[in-house]
Amino acid sequence: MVNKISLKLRSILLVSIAALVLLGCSDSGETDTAAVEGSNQGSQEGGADFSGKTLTIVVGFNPGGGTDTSARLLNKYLSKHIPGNPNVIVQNMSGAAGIRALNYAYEVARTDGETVLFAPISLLVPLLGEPGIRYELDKFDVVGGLRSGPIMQFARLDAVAGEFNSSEDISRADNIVLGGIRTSSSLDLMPRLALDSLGLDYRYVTGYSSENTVRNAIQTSEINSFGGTFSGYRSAVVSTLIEPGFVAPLWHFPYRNADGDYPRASFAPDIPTYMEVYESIKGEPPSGEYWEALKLALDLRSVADNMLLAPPGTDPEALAMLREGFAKAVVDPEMIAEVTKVLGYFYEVVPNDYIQQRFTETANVDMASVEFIKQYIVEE
Amino acid sequence: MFSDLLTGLLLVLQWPTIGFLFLGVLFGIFLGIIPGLGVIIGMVVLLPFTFGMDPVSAFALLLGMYAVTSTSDTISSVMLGVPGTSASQATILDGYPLAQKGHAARALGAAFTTSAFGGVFGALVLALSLPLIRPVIQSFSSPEIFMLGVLGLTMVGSLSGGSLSKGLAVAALGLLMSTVGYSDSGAIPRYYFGVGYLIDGLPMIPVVLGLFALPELMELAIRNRSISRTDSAEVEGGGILDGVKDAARHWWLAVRCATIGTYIGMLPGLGASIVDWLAYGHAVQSAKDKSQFGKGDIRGVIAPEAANNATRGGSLIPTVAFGVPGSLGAAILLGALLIVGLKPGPEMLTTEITTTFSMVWSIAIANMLATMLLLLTARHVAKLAFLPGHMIVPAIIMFVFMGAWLGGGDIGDWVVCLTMGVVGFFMKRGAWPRPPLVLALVLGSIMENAYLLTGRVYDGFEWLQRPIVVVISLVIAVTLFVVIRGILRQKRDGANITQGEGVSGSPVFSLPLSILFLVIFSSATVLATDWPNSVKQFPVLLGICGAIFTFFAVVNDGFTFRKTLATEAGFRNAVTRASKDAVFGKASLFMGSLILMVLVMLIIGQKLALPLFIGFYLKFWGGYRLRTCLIYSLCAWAFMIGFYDRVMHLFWYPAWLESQLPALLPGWIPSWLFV
Repeated sequence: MVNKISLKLRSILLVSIAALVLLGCSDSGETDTAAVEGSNQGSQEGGADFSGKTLTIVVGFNPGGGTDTSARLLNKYLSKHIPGNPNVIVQNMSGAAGIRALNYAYEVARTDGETVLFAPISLLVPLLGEPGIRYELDKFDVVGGLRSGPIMQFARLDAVAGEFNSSEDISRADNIVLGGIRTSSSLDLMPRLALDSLGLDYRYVTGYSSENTVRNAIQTSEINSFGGTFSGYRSAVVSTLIEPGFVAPLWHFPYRNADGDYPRASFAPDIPTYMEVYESIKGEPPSGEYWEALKLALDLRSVADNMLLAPPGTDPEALAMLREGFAKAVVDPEMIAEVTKVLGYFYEVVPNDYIQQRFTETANVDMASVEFIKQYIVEE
Repeated sequence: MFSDLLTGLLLVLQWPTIGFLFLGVLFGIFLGIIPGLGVIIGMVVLLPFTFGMDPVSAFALLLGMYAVTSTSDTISSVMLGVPGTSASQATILDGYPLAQKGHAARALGAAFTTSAFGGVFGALVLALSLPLIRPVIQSFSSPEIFMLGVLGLTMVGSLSGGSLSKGLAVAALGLLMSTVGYSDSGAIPRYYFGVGYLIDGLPMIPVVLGLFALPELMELAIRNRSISRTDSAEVEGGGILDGVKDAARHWWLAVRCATIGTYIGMLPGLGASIVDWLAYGHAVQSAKDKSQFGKGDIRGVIAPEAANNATRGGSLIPTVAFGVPGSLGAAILLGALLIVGLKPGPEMLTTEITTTFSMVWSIAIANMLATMLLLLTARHVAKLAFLPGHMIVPAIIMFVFMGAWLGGGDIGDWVVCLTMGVVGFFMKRGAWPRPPLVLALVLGSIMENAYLLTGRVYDGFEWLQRPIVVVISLVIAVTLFVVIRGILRQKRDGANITQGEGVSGSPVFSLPLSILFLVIFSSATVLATDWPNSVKQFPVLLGICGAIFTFFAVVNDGFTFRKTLATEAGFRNAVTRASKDAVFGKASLFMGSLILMVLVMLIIGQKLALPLFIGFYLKFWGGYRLRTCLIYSLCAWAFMIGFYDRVMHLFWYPAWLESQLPALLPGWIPSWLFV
């Protein structure tokens, strides 16, 4: 019996070794061609270039979601444009709404330039002092930043008695039920502040755990308004809610520009900003404590929605090559075409020094508004 | 409509689409067989390949995999008593006893046949009932989802063990465990005791593997007997064809269960998680002779297997047509839809209908392909049941530990797995059913959300008057009534209650667990008192319900314990006898060696520690020749490198050796081979 088994085992072993050798060959094969094509300035120093190396993009969310998809869209083009054409892979490390991966990149990840983090970055979250945060944003090295569109707010057409013709009609609604994901999410915070600032009465129902579930709840009429990401708007809200004719976009929450103004985001030129709608309802620009808090949230979000970050202290030469690769990738027409096919639009590229500058400036925010938001989140 | 259906079929049959479908099927079979892998892992591996593929081929690849993991996961449910994926839990109840009787091939034959039937039936029924789908889905809001969860748990709690109070108490415990860490909406982490790992909650897969796999492995290792308790020569009527015939004989049951699977499976949130239990419950309730359920009734295999494959089709349409995925796997499919350039929405049922039908066909064809492949090989797979335990244990240990690691990549995953192994051992020995805990853990956060949302959306108890809520409540009441009547009858007739896991429990193991659970429920309630209302509501409710159920279990155990004391003449004798029955000493040694392996791993890393453990186990515990041990360990090592490292790209534990090794190795040997 034992002998028979070991015979079988031996053949399995042979096959597995053969498979491994093949895998190994394909790896070293890449190394060889890259070495021939590129410079051969020695790979032992860890600098020179990325030939034969593997660049790992850590993503703090599950596969198939928005962040993961964006990272995977990027990886082929990073490989193409980073000197030495490294093999680029995406690793998912989900947990604590992305905080776990940020902590990992901050504390554990190697600094040889072969590990980077692709993440939606909130400047507000660290200020709110959520437990479990161990990173400091301004210590990271920014490889590149992308804006993927403003947060939007939607309402069911039947939320308003009679005709729903324009966003201003929401002021006639007397039974708004606002759905959310969790109290601390921007998708909850901004729509709540917006409705409170307008002085509208509403019921707040949070806990839907994902944008998919929120969309389901508005289909079943359990809620009749919600805040969503722009990518969700383009990829699913339009086709499942707006075109079938029961939901309309109310407004978007715009980015602040360099002059401190809030013009319509280039992503959504046809949809009014919250401030526009406010003015046409109230006849004056927004003001008051809810507005101050909303303005802070808007301001802190006006950096970049997704960033590629290198761990603090990353080897400067490697960092320079990563930045070069990123900068070339996001203007590559092939990448633009592929992203546009998947998302329906292309990102806005944000300059690195602007991001780094905003990281440092966070120290000067108005702490009174931060405290206000903290309280507001706990209250529900 | 008919021509669209045909065009869809032709799209799938094209080359290379059909080739991708075949690849997906092969990969799906592999994922289902290995405990700890499953649909989600499959999506992670396959998703990157779909970038740039044409939609039909991309979905042939994904759906080929997606459709069949719940066919091949039957193998580990039947052979090992370990759910291959959480969709195949109910299959264990009768599948494993069949394997122990030497009828593994028959169970597999029946399971594969009905799986194929369920999968094809689900896909086609769905295609024909497209107009019905929107109203069905839209009538399920938070209150209905919550009640559906309660129904699922009532089914498991009452069917998976001999004792109703124990079953329900375990379900409450599972729900309570799901409240560890942040709730989805709340701002305060619960029951994490300052441990960062727990802030995110208890992960599913390490719990399942620890709870089910470790106790079974212990048994195999300690007694070194094969899975089948009877010799292969003595078994009669246990062949694959007998299983196929069984499936044909019970075709009407399969039809009913596949229907349950299709329609329940499309409900967003938790439909897909509970169908196997609803189907099993239906099989038990509709059977005239219920006496063999839990001891190896083939109907207990047919029902859940027909249902769980049917859900795969069921969850597809809501995902593509309304952007409402019914499960995490379906949520990833939704992501894939965008990647290939399609958008969910009604157009998927109008202008893109041929693509949608090609997906339906992919599922149907994948199911048939998988069943053919598995039926052809089932004869060999079933032989594993007659192998000595020592040859099986090491490989499964590797799969269990790597599977536990896959989800989170944290050493906490291994600690949870080992802890649940100990709990599972006591539960098994003490006749506490384990399946309710797992289902409750799956449903926990969905049910809590639905419960809280219901409270926020509806005033007072008006939600209880919603028609579907009333219907589900009635089904729950009937289920409980049937079960309680059954228990009372058995008591009156003096027969032993021998359904499911409640077969050979000893109060010596059960009573300490009862008391432990009672302590957990009451302290959980006390700890929660100061939390904000939305954060504490659910745990407090569970703490109270759990304590009541456990109280009944304690009283019951107390009586049995007194009886045991009387027959065994004294406390000490009773304890000695029970621990001897459970081979407590050897079990501790087994657990001890696993803990030692984990400690060694902290220094040398997983890629070396697991193969080393395997070698040592075979040599010193199994007494095999050095050559066998070496070859086995090398195979394990090769699998870890080849699959988990090169294909999965997972995060390995940063062991001490990792920082040292690169300096020691010559440049031409890559260090990923070892750490």
